[in-house]
Amino acid sequence: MVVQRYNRAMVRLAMAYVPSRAVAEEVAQEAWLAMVQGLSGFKGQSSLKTWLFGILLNRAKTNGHRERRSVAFSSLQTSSTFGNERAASDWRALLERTSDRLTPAWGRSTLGISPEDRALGSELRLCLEEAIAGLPPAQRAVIILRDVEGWSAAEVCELLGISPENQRVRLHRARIKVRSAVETYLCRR
Amino acid sequence: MKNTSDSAVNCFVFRESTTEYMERALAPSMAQEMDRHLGECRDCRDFFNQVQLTVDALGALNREKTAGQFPTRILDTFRAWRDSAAKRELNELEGLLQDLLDTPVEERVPAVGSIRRFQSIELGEYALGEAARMSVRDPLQARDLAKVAVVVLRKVARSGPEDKADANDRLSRAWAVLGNCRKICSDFLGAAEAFQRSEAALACGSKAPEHRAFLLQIKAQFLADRGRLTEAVEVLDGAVSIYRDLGDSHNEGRTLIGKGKVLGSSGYVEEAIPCLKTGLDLIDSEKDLRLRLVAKHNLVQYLSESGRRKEALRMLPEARVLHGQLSNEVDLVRFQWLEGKIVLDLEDLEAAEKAFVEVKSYFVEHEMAYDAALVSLDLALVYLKQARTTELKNLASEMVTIFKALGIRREILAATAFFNRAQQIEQTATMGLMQDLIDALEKVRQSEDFRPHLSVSN
Repeated sequence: MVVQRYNRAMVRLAMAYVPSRAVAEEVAQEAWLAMVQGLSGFKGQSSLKTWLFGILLNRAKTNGHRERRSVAFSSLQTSSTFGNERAASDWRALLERTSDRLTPAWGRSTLGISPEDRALGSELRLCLEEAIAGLPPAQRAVIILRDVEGWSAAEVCELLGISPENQRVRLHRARIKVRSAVETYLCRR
Repeated sequence: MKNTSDSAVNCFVFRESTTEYMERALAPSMAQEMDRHLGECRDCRDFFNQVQLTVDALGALNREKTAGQFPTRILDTFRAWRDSAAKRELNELEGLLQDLLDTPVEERVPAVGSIRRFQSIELGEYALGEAARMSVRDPLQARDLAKVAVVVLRKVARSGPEDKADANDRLSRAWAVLGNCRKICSDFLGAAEAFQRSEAALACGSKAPEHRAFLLQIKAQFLADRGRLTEAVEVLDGAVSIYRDLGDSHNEGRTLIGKGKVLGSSGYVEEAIPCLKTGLDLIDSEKDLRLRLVAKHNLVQYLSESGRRKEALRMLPEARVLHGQLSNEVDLVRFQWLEGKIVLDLEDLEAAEKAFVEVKSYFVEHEMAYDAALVSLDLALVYLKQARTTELKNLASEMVTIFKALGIRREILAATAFFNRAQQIEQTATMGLMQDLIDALEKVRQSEDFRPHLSVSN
């Protein structure tokens, strides 16, 4: 169901700005209500999706300021462990497990869904979630929308009001950091 | 990390540009350099694959099976909003339609011509839907509504910004429905004119076959009512084959049920029964329960008329249940008429008389003159069987008046003959003559269009 799928994305995005999941859910609810109440004023200047997420972002930012987040995120090891033989072989193992899904369309993986991968899957998932949580909000919003939610670059630019170049830079920074976090996770195992 | 070539792209540049590379945002020359570096540097190849794998894994996050519970409060708000939005739109249309109906008839065309808010396809369609809905219950109101639909859609088809062909298709439907309403109100000349105009609008339409089929099946009922049976059946067969070609079995079934009614009401009861049975198999009863009722009702009647009383009686309970469910006043009246005929067959004259009198007064009250005249013939038969000549004489003169007003020659002849005979009865009143009369009337009853039918609503 579309509403449900959107809501999950909204909560995820709101979490980039507010201190807890509970607050994020609250913000998402507020956004829905605001949308429903304001729908008659919607002039179709943007897509309904962008409009809804715009409302959400505004609310989340306002809320974030109010709650003045002070929670420090777990500092992530970002130094490159490149060249580490074990990590490299782990990457390759991961690569092999998902290689059939890597081409031609990336981003279609059901990583961690198959039974034998479940343990790794849930750990990896946690690792990814933590890595995302550790990103600066500006990068977090972009990587959530692009890579997790599968929005197009143009949609993200429209929603966040940023240029295509800026969008790419933020996305790149975020991806590099998340990649490092995955690598760290693989080394620790 | 090492430089693997002297080109513009080294490992540092490659890694900095990976996302741009993946997004195909690089200039062609730069992209080529990236391609080459990727081919030459194993570390960067690993890095590149890892980034892709990361993106892949991130995408998988979204497909968690543990879908978060969506707060019911939001869902409720959402549903309430959707309902109220639909209601708002409906209220708006209702208000517009009421405004038009409140406008004196002669001022409606100029009003629609000059006032922008009346020039909408939605308003026309809404009026048309209301007309179709009311056509059985309140034919006069339905005719008024259909006329409004025609006025609105004609304006849109002529000068609206919308798709002309589409507007003409809708206009054609509106004229067809108006024709049907006029027919029900016994305005046969007006009905014929409406069907002609429907045809004309169709010629300016999209030529999609379903619009023609719609007109054909309505027109066929009109032709049949006017005694032009062969033409009616031809027209209906045309509609049936259009729907069959379209693979629209519901409407194919619906048209077959219409054909069954046309055949049956013209005395071809044996031919009507298979049409109704096939039609019943084809229609989607969920979609149109009334259609099922129509088919069942008529089937019961034709079966009983063709002497297959057992089969008819077997179907009677379902017909009664359907009538009860749909609780449409005029349906119930027609069912009462049918039941009256069945008890008449069983020689329960008292019950038959009671049924026919009630049915007749309903039709008179609702200005359904033709039906009133037809039920009068049934009532006359009851009086005749009981030799109640005074009532018979009054009824007969009433019938002649109605038939004359309607311009139905065949029925005038029958009723006039009947009237004359009734006067003779008063003078001589012998049992032999009585029997003659009953026979004559039975003959008329069996060969002519004197049966209570349900029409297929449109």
